[in-house]
Amino acid sequence: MEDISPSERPDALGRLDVFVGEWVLEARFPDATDETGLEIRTTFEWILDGRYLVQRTHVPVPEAPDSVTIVCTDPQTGGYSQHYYDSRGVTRRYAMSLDAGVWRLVRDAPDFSPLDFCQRFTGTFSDDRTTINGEWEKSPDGATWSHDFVLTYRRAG
Amino acid sequence: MEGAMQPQTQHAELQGWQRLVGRWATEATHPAFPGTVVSGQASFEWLEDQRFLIQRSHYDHPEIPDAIAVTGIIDGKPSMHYFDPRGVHRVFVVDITEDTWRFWNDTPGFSQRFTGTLSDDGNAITGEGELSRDDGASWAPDLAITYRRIG
Repeated sequence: MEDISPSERPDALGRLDVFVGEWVLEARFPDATDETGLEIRTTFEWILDGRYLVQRTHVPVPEAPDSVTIVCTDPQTGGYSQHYYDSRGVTRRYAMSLDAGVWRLVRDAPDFSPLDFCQRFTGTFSDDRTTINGEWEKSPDGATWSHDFVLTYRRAG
Repeated sequence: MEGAMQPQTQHAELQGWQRLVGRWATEATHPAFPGTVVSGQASFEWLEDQRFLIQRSHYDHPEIPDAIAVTGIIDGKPSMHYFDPRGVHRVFVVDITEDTWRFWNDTPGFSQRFTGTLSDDGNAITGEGELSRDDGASWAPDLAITYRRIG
């Protein structure tokens, strides 16, 4: 196609190495009496010469979607965006950041789907980088946020 | 991964897309490399529940970028999100019928379109990409790819 010369790998991508590998996810919803007991597996890997980080998540129940995400880096700003596709047919794009061990995702503008509500995720890496303690929040207006569910990543490989 | 022999997807508008599923050997030519035939591989697989088709492409040539593309009904339209290692992300409209696989975009100053013709037995696709720098007034050849099913 056009401009078919390889380009350098932006430094911002190297910082995402901390995700690479397999993790077990644990979701806790406020109205659940205890943990779901589901073993949700998610894997992060580099593709295309380390340019994109791809995350594949499998949830072993039919009512929760499997998903694929592709993280892109903006070479101008070093910022990230996460493109999300799931087995319900939902497509979303989240603005993403990773600073000082805190991973953030936010969706507060319409992208490839109408914006019915705003969402954001904040995950904090443990010092040994084997756990991410995360929380999803939602908001009707992008100003007032309420807890949605807790999502914990534990490294499995 | 037997392509057209597999059960159909349950989503009627995506049924024709099953014809792409599987692994393919590719041969590509590009006007920038006259006389060179670039071999490669491509695969198409469904994400669980068959609403998104994930395509991976590899070319045995340092100047033709590998790519991943996700095709599905996005914002109500059959669409393909294309990503390559240059950091390029493009959105194409897609149309897949019994015997053709087409995708295109109308990016001002850099429109692209691709038409792939499937063989009757579904085991080969002849594809021609074209490029327009004047918003569709004139089109020049871009990457041409033939696909031969290997799995």
